[in-house]
Amino acid sequence: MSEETPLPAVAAVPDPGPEHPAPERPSVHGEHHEIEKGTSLWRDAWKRLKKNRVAVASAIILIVLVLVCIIHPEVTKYPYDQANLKLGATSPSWRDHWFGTDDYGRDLFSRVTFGGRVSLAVGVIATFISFTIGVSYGAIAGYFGGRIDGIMMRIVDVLYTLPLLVFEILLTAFFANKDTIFYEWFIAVLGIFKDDPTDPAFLPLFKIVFVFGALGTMSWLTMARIVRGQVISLRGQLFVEAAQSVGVSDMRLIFRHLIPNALGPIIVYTTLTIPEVMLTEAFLSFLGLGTEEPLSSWGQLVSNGVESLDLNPWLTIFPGVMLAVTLFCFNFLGDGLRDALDPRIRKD
Amino acid sequence: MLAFILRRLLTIIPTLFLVATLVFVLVRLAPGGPFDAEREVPAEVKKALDEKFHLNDPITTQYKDWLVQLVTKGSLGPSMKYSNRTVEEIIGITLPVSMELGLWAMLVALAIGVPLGILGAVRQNTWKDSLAMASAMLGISIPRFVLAPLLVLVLSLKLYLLPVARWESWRHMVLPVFCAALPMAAYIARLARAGMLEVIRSDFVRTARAKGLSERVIILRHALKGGMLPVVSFIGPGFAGLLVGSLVVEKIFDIPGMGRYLVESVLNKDYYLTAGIALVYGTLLMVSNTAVDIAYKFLDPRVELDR
Amino acid sequence: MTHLLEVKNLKTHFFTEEGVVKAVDGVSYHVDRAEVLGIVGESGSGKSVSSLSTMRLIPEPPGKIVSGEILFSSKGDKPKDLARASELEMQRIRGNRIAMIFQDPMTSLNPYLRISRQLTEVLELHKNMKGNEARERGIEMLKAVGIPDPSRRFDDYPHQLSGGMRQRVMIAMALLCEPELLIADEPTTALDVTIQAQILELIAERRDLSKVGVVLITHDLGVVARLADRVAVMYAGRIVEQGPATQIFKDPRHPYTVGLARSIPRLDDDRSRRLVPIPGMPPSLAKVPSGCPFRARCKNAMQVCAEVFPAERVIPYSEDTGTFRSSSEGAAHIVHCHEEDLEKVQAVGAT
Repeated sequence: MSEETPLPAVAAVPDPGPEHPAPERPSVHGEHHEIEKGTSLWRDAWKRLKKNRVAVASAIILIVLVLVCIIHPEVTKYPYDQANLKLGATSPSWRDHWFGTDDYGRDLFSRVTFGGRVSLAVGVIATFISFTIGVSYGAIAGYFGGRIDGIMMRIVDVLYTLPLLVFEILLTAFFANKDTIFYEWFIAVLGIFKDDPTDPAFLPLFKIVFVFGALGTMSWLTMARIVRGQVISLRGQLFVEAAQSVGVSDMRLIFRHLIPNALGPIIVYTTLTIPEVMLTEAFLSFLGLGTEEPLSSWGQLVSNGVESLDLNPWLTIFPGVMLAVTLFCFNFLGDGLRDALDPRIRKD
Repeated sequence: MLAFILRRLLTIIPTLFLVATLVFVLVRLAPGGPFDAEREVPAEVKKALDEKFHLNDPITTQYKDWLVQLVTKGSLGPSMKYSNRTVEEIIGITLPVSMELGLWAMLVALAIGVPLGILGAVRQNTWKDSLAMASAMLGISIPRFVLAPLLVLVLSLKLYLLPVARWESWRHMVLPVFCAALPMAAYIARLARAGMLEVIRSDFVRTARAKGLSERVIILRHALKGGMLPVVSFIGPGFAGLLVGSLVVEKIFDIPGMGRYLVESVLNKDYYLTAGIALVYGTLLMVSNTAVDIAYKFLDPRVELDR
Repeated sequence: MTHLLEVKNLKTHFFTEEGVVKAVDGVSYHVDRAEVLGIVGESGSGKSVSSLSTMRLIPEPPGKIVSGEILFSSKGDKPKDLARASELEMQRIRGNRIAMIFQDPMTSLNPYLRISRQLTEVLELHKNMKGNEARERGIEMLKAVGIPDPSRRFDDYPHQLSGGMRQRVMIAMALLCEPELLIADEPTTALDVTIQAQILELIAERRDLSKVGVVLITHDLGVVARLADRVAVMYAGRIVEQGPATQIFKDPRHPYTVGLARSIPRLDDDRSRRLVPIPGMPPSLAKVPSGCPFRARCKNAMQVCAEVFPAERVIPYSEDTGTFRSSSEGAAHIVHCHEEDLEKVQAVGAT
């Protein structure tokens, strides 16, 4: 060895290179710092999302789809439940019934748009329920840590090992029923809006509402895990300590400070939960456990269509393709959001 | 290894007990009974039937009897709809059919998904990658009960290539297996791609390149094992999901599998049959999870099973 | 005489969405047999990229060797330009004639394969050895790098070894085919101090026994001082000063080198002297300013520094330089700085 050189012992070049700028010192009001970082994060994400043409196209298609499903049933001259037995099943035509009619002569386009309302509503509302449960659960477990976290996450682990789809089948089959307490709750709430909530005509509506609830209360596990992880990583940061030191309450800290900072992954996962829940609802409806006549949902329309697949294939094709396109767009949008919001995976 | 399996059994049994209890409670709490639908049944007959199936006993007694029968005799009770058969007889006939469908579908899903995912990762950001991933997304987004009728329509009803339904020869199996497999294949493709990408970017793959190994050897020998770990851990819950998801395939293709009996029993309030099938699904889920954990051990030497 | 490796005016750029990152922007150096060239620089100075370019391991895209030559003379053959070699030719050279050791022994070995597999595959590939022959050679090599009980360790998985042992395995793997050139990219950074010394000793031993040429990349001047025969100092994708190690340490002529030397704690120094960090930060490689990249941190910056990158200037050896290792005898001391006044250069580091 070249021992003749004067020997610097532990010598290191100061190493913050250009890609590792020295961390900015958080100000006393650490959250301001976070918010500043936050806005540029959102702006960057938005820029990246706009560049993702498939995601943008998916978003546009979804918006159009939602608008059509909202508007069309209101303005059509063929209401979704108006039968025309004399007409019967007719194939699609450009002039009158764009998607044809079903065995009862009901306009399939109207049934598909109305079914779209139901399917999308299930997707959005059930996701909202799962979002509420999952985010609160995960945030509380992650924030308090220790034993509380241990017990809460153990419960999630156990629930994960259960065949949830089977339970969903059992729940909807057994309890979407007018002899249950859920129906009484439903009537109580419906009574606020309608004069005669016990009218059997509302029973199909009850079934849908029940499906919202059943799916929502069963799809929050992954969300809870994600939020917990995020909260744990945020909990160690200075702005949390700063907020605690000035006496911000735990709950306020969780819901006003921690959750907003974990919003990226939450949004991504929410977008991906919608198609998952819609798929499950369609699955249940296909098995005859979800929506009931005369209401329609895409799963149920496909289920009915399959009965006469050889004679009237359009009855299967249109609702099936609508469902697939919607799920496809939600999935692509969710993927695009993930790429946009998660800089680690972004480089893929 | 044996110690691990034994320890795992210790957690599986309470969980299964939980599943059994939940299922039983759900089934029995539900309003209505198995013989309500049959309006023609005279009151005395209904009473006799209720008597026969101990439906008038307190629910705790019914639960206890059911559990005792299950543990001591392995008996899942009688079916109420198929009145001269027991639940385990029905499961014994239908489960093999469902398993056959499920296992074939799993194999097909792996055979499609894994190569597609590797292709996507190795050719990252090329048109091949985009195509592979777009088809995977399509596969995830098309529900089985939409895909199946469309394929039947084209291949069976228009082109007469394959039979429309039933479960007899390999020609009958092609469509149902493919329909059951596709969403799973798509999911596996995405997992395989993500796993491979992670590994391909790792330091040890760079080391392998620095050793002068060819791209093929690097992928097959150095990257594949680690890259497939996400796929392997998905196989456990995935297989159980596949079995339940195949319900619709069984329905569409008129396959005499267990899934159809689950739906039927649920609609008929055939309590014991529902509970028995749900329990079988739970068991399958837990067994396949354990199998996956063991497979994991063989793939990743760092994993210690004794936790 | 031809050098073992001669890099001429190498430029490796990365074409990213944020713009062109000129990670290596016109770098020239050479290494001879039985010689250690230390390349020193901060992270992001382009030192690792220049060595990965030599191995042609730059991920492409986004990276690309834009221009320059990488001349490698295997066994005294005619020099071959690696910058233009085909992938197949490179595969024959990598791990065989040129081997590489990476920074983190924890992640650089494949955790899913036994050490035996990872060693023997190199022999199968380049030396056509099989079965027991490869096995024995592998175990022999483990022994040579100082792994105790090598025949038992041979079939371990990497996670069963300590960090220092893993780096020894990495070195064994690199040396299996008796390469002529060894590129060591921060080989000791991830290790603790006592292990560092052992690993450096091992590399020095290989240089002396097998006459292997070594490119040692590090941000640690201490490592360079222990091991290097010659030193090249990199800053923002350029070499700003190079020459025999003794000369560089005794008589640094670039303000950056001076600053580096000052920022280093020295055992033989008065403890009360304060460490002097170089003020400021290196420029982002995506927007390196024209002229001399160091000028933003240089108190001495002149008008000309903003205009042109300084041409090379040869510095005569100082009289008390001391002994050279034979191979670096006579190697030029080159600096790229417009300021010729030694006192002014030295004043830059001293605040």
